[in-house]
Amino acid sequence: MPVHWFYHEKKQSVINKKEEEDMAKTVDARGLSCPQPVLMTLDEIKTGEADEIIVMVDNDASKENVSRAAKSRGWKVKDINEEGDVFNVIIRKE
Amino acid sequence: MKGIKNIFAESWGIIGVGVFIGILAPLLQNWGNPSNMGICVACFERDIAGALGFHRAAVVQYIRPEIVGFVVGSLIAAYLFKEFRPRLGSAPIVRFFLGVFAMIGALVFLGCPWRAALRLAGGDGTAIFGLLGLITGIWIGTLFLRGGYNLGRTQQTHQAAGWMLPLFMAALLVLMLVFPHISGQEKNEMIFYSVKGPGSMHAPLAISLGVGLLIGFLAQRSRFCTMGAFRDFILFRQMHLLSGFVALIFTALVVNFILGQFKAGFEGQPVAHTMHLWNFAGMALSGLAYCLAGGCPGRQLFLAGEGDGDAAIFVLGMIVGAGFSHNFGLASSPTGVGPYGIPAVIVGLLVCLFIGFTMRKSRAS
Repeated sequence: MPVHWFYHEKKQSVINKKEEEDMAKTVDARGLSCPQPVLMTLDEIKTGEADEIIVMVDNDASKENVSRAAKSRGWKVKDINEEGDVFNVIIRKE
Repeated sequence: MKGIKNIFAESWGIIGVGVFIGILAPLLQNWGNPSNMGICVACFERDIAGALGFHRAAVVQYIRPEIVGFVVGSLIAAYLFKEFRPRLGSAPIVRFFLGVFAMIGALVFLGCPWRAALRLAGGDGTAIFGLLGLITGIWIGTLFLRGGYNLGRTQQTHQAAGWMLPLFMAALLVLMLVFPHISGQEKNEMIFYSVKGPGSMHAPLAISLGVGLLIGFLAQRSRFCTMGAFRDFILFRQMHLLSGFVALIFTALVVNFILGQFKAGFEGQPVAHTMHLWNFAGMALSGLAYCLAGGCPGRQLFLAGEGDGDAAIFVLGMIVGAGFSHNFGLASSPTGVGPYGIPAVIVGLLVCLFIGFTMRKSRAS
């Protein structure tokens, strides 16, 4: 997934060594409307494989819903950045 | 305005919008809309179908400006906040038929979820069965969602494609202004009007349109959705949207008391019948269809206003469904269900189950 790869590369320059060991998983929910992005995010959280997840969505309602769902599971919304029509919602385990 | 935090996405925002609708809907009744029908998206789209002659039920023919306002208000909000995103292509034909059967179910109960709430807030006990049916239908829908039901991804499209339904709505308004009701006549040169019955009862055009625009604007910002309210609670135990829906009911209850519009009971309620099983089953069909399509009838209008072409197809499906309902004797009346209402609900449930069982995708794909 090129966008994931690109983002991950960018991230490498700003994170410290410890965080580097954690794999940030990407959930691609572009083109999907709720509840799918939330279901996909919660599925990824449930696997317990990542401490950080990048959820890609392309509408504002999904961005808000994913953020709200992450918070309700005790995760923190670390950042939301916009690349063109896509929001990367970066959530991190508290 | 993009940088402004969306306060309507917060808890108090959605509750505020519920309160706002809860005030305005009973007021619309006071200003002329039918009883316990201040706003009913299904009924109003059915009235539009009648005004255009898609069915010939003489008592339900009127181009409801509230519906025009919902779509255009949402469009304005979406542009102001840079959220207008024209998109389509997520199984539109399926969404069309979900719209058709959502309307058929709604007209067996005689209302959409908004009207179910307003009926309850007006003291109509039969609405309880409708609401229970709605929740049951949505619950069945959540089982499909958990099992991977998914109509697929949308694609971005031309800005103008997102304008199609708003333009259609604007055209309806123009039609109404150019061809106003001639007192006592059922039809002018172009469109139908009701001279009696619910279709003849309406608030003044400017008020209906103004309220519709305001609600459309606020609902776009808050993502107000009566189906999502129950779906999110069932799926995620999330109260966010539900708090808005509950706020609507309680506020409308208080406003109905103040306006003297509250009349408790099961019998003789306005535009309602007492065949409880079919109140339940009609709304169960609608609830399932809304859940499979991702939004209640109101939300579909708001989504269409922000450029969602698939939601627009659902809306058109509902308008066509209203034609089927009245032309084929599927719609209920205050005396009970129509001659073919019961088989239509059964067929609708089977179609929705077929869609739910067959349209799954791995979430990763």
